Amino acid sequence: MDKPVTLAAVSDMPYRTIEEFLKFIERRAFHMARMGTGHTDTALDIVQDSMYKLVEKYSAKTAPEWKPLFYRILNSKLTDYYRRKAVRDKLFVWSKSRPDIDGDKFADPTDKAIGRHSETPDEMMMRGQRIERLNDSVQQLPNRQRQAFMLRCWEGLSTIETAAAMKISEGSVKTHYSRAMHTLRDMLEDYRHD
Amino acid sequence: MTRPTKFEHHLKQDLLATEEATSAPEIFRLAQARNHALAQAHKPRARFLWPAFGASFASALLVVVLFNGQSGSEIGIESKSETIVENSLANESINDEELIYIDDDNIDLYEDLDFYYWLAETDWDGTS
Repeated sequence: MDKPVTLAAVSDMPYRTIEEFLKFIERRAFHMARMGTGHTDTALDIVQDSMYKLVEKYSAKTAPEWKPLFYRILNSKLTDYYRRKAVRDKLFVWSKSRPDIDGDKFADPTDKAIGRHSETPDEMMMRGQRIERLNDSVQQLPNRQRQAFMLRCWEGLSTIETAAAMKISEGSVKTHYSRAMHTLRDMLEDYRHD
Repeated sequence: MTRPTKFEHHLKQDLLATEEATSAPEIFRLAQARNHALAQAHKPRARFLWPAFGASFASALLVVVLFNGQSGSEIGIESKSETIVENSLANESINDEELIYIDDDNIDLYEDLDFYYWLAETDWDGTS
């Protein structure tokens, strides 16, 4: 766990200052948080809190250290959210919040306009449907598997960096990631066969 | 790092497309969040909070002191009242003992009281 993390060289970094780093990471972090919570506002709050904490506590660290630290903070904020949600759901069983019926699941209609300008309307629509399915599938993953999937597949962190961000061993990262991919393969069987 | 499979590659492409589709209001709110976070780094520590902390601490201390004082005086009152009760009980017990003592040993004196009154009067007058 406490092994020195091999990080990318500073020259490879697309950011040098903490502001550039936050600009670089904010959208991805927001989408990760939203995929984890299913709520836009909650995701924005979590990302803001994570940014705040990173600047407050770790702005003096070197640029290569920021990414794993930021994801560690983000993950712990998400874990706190799940804990609070679990307690709330136990206390108020009748109003158990489910992201798909709370109405805030990616409420902004512009979110559904996924695609690139070069794509045809058909391609854009298919991509939108795929992403919707992917979102649903990722939300069904257990917390740790989801975190490992997001950090490894989406963010492209190495196993060592993911282990540092998740505060678990490299072996556990491999296990969680492998299980996540296995589950996603099963759930998205005909994915990308369109 | 092992090479990503085709499936992983497709997933990553779609996830990156999600990022690209971030709406303008969301981008604006993220920028606001970033600016707020960065602003705190340049902001000096909130010194104006110290008087508030001091006042809160003093209030808490006062409450503790008052509470302890009150409960202490209550204890004093209780102990005093307990002493009084004990004393009165002791007195009662003494009276009871006296009564018992009178009842047991001087019962003959009370029975012959009339005789002693007569005797005293006779001695005083010098007559029978």
